[in-house]
Amino acid sequence: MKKTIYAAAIPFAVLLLIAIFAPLIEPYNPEKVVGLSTQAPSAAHLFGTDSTGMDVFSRVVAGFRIDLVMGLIVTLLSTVIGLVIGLIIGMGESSPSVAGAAGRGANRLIDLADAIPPLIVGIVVVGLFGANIVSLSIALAFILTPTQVRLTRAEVLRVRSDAYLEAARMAGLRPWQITLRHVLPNACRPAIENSSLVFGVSVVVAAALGFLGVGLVPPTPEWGAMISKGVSDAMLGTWWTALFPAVALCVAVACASGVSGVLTRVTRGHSLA
Amino acid sequence: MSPRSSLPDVGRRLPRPTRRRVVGIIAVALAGALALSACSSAGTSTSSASSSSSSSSGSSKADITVAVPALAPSLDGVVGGGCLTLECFEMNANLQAGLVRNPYVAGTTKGTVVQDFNKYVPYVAKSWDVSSDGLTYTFHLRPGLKSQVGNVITADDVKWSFERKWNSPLYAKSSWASFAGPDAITVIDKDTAAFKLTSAGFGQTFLGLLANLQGHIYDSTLLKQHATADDPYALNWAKSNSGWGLGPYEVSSQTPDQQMVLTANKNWALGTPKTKQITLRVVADAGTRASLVNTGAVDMAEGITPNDQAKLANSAAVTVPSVANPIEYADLTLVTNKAPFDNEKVRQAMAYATPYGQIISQIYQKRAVKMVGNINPSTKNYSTKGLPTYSYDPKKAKALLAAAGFPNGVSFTLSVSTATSDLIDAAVLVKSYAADAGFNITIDQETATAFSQTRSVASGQAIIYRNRAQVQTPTYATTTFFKPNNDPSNPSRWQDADNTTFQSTIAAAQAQKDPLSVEAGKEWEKAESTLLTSTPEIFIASIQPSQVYAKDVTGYTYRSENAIDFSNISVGG
Repeated sequence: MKKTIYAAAIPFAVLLLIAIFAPLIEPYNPEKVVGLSTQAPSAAHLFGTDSTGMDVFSRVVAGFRIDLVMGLIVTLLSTVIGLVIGLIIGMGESSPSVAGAAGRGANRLIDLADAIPPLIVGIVVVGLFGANIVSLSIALAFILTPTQVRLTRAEVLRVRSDAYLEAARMAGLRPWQITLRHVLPNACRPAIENSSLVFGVSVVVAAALGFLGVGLVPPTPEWGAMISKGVSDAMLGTWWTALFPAVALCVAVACASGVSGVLTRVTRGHSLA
Repeated sequence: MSPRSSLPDVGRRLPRPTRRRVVGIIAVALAGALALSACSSAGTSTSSASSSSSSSSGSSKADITVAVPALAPSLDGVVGGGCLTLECFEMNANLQAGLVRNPYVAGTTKGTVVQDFNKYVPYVAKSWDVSSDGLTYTFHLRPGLKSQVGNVITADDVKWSFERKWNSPLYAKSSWASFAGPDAITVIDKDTAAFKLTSAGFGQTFLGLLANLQGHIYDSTLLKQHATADDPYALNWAKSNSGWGLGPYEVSSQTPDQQMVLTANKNWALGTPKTKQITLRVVADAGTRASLVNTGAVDMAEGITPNDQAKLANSAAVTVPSVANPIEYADLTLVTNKAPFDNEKVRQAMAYATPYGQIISQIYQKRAVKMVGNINPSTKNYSTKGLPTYSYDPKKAKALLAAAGFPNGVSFTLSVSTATSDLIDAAVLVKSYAADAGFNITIDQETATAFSQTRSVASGQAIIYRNRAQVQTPTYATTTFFKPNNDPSNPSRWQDADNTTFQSTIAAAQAQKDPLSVEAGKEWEKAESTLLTSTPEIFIASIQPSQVYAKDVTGYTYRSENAIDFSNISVGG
């Protein structure tokens, strides 16, 4: 059982290895014109060439590095921020003090932020700060943080009424000590488990932004932009320019789901296995 | 037991997540994939609609269906709407008409025609006379000519049309350099109007402007009916209503962003168009538009990519037109009001770092022709032989950069519009090849609106776009894009000693009574030589027309604004 759960993370680990060693795997520079345009897959170009003559295989492999790095940054950012905000809101919102009112207000703001379509947020942020990995990661983190906040807050509300917290208070611990030492470890599990979903969504939304033409600047090998350019070519038979990046996108998201079980295993301890 | 060790008990109250979560993630991935495909399927769904309905309309010889990338946002085009897109040009060409026009002559592709830019024939006017000094053009209107709604057109309409243009804030009057507008028009009688010029050499360009988008004549009676105190020339009303033009068609219905139907104008100056109804269907995706023509679902398609045109060239069902002298061109403008292109040597280096041949073969699939200068090579008494030319030569480029004080190369940003996919590809090629010549290029992909702003205020370092001279005379080609004094129509903001020489050479050419004379031709060649040496713009290649059509369509017209004149089209027979 244990082995099965950890084995589920192997595909994702392989993807990470591909991302790390991408420059060694790519047969050509993914941002240089290396052959004739729209050449079908062949021994020289395994996935063919695109409309400018760049090697599709090299670009798909390079895309792993960009999309996985972006996904990991977004997952880390949104989970850490989500935990912090969720803890603050959850611990303070029932208090009659100003801090409590601020917590309740912040909770409503989180609900409002959830109502804004993710792609619109992405387009606005990229429009304001430019299309680069940092601004795209911030945009995606902004989009995905509310979910992490909500999960953490709900868990904090449940945990904070547990008897051991009362015992901690009676033992003289200060509120921030209680929050960090006892509430955080017991309330972080849902957000951490959800981080694999955050990763998958961030990769898909990043690709959607690229597809809409507001992603990273060309000729950066980003899957969404590659699919966008390839879809039109496919209408008259040039299928390879869109298919391979689309498959890579699906594989990356599916592999991320395998990590979910491992995270659950880690956060809940061995006895659940 | 510490609170941390109580976790398993707490955990048991939660649902077992693994399988459900995996399903959830896959669902999200599928939703994402669906969202991606939905973004592109707008065109596909439209196309299936067009496919089913046009099979009936397309088979009729009186009606044709055209797949277009977009509809014109304004029916008033370059005048009231200030619209400079192909869609607007097509509205101008089909809904409106000028006093004269360029005659059509047989084109390179069988069954097609092109404009003869050295000649003019009557259109709304029945005839015209030119005074002996070449300064007064007197036009005689077709007696009893009516507008699309049936109002008789007189010389008063001609004068009022120019009043309207001159009072439209979005209209570029500067093109009419030696013509002062409505004040220079005299109404002699109801069918006769005289236009006064200040330079005889401007005459050829003057006729060219009258024949094109800038010179159309309107039904003043109808427009005045829809004028208001705030809008005395009905500029707002005319944006979405037709009937006030004198062209071969009027708009009978339109659904924004989806479809527009044009119906033949029974009062048209040249009789009745062969095709009675044109349905313009919006199909967002270029590949889908190409596919629709190939399957016979539509008769014509516009905005087809060179890659798709190359594939369709072998189709038994589709004609891909080519012309001897394409007018639209890929233009790499180097903005000279800031570094690094304020240095002539750097500009010349960039001209040697541009992969002309590769762009022509890779991006345009050889459906483009290398350009030398921007004057149409078919211009009478003008030749490009002896003019400076550039070819891809990274060694020469590096040497020039070193001579300019940049031995380690130069970095700059190249702006391109997201609306021109071929030029995004061209920009990628330029970046890739120019790197070997010492240029480190960052491509800035901008929306069409943002790009238009970048171009007009010259805020970028370099831009790549499709350009064309609406009027194919040497005067128009040389003066329109290189005006000094920070003129917004000069995207390179080229203004130095070379530009002064260029302007004085143009003045010498225009001083000739006939701008197409042998003497004038020599001056045009001198001006182009100065332009090419200074290199504020790199004329990469002139591009073949972007339309395709079914084999049974004849009469395709290649015009200076790249729009189709539907009145000349016929299907079958």
